[in-house]
Amino acid sequence: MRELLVSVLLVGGAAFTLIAGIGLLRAPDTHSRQQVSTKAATFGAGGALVGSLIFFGGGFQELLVVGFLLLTVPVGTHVLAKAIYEQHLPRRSGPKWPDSEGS
Amino acid sequence: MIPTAATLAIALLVGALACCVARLVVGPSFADRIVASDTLVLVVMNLVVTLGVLWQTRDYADVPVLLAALGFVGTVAAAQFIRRGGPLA
Repeated sequence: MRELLVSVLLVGGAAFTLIAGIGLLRAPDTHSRQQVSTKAATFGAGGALVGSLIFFGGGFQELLVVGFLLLTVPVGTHVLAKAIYEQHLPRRSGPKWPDSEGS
Repeated sequence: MIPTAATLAIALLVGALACCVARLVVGPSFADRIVASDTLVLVVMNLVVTLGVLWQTRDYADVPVLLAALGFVGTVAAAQFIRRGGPLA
């Protein structure tokens, strides 16, 4: 039972990370690439860390890393998204975006 | 069962690693390369954890802590770099 749980968590985490990588290659513009890649890769890393936690029967480092990732990845993503937004990079045509002045 | 699953997971992660490196090389803008390296840190962290399970060792348990901290600091630093247009601005 424990082996099955660890195996599912490891393969699931790796599969989510692979989906993040494929999305990073295929998404049309920079905002989409960031949107696609960061969340799925964080989820995949969290899955693998929880699998390692169950496999070794507890560990301080895994809990620390999961908490740290859940705290810092949104912050870093937000800062990077603001930086990309101010770059005026080419975007896929679609809904009209607000002007970045005064944001 | 666990070694098979860990080997399969490593195969998937190497594919993700190749995707990240391809975007890091191709990426039209500097922002794309920052996004790719941000994802690359998470993929390498996942790979180290999976290798630790495959080899049944706790020797690499401290590596994800350092990777999480340095990945966050690097992403924020690079984002501020492209916002301000240079290292000293």
